[in-house]
Amino acid sequence: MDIQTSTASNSVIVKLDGRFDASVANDFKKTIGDLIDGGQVNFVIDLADVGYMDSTGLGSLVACLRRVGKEEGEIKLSSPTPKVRKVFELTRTHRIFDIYDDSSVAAQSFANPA
Amino acid sequence: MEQLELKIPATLEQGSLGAIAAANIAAAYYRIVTGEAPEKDCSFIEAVELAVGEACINSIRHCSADIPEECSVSVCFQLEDDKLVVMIQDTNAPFDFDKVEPPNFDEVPESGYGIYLIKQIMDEVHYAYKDGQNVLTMKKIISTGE
Repeated sequence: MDIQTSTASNSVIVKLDGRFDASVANDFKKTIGDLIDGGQVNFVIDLADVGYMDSTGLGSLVACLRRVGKEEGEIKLSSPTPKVRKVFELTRTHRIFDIYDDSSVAAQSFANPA
Repeated sequence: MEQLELKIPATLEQGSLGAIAAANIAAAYYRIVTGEAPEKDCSFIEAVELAVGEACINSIRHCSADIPEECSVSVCFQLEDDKLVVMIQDTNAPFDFDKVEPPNFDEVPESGYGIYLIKQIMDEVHYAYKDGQNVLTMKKIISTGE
């Protein structure tokens, strides 16, 4: 899975491309961990190009959410496909993430909190 | 129809191959049974892909051999009337499948969703320990839309 990061005004957009599964979950956690260590606490995870996510990929998102929460930050998700969204719904984890249809809107929500 | 068997080395990188293979094999069986393009029922393919992926990763994670290279996971596919039957076999230590609790959703755990997901998305799930192997049998009905 390819991981690309870009900086928005109040957050980092992390765009994933590929299969988000057990083989890449640790790489993802390390990427987020390194960014947290560098002072970033707000993230938008863009899932538009994630063609498959298993429970290990999901678990890494949960782990990262917990970690940023300790730093008073947040992880928001954007653009999951119906296939990926179903994994969130089956595990009821769609209740703990704010999920947007667009990464820029998700990033904007950090700049303009409700 | 003959059984189709894959043997996957027990590494997380190669474990993802099980899910990828399952998706493609499920699509092929769907077309054989229904005569329709597999895209007509993505939910069938996606269910098989995810269930096989979860089962393979579980097997790989619980590999009990001293040398991981000695572990492998066998994934067998077979048609049974209107169902795709997938058997995941490994030589890990047996476990009490019926006592595996669903995740505590209120606590939002970071792991432990695999067997729960398999039971949710497959139509039948059975476990047996036979001849020194864990055998997880999962079945998914191939809907003909009739």
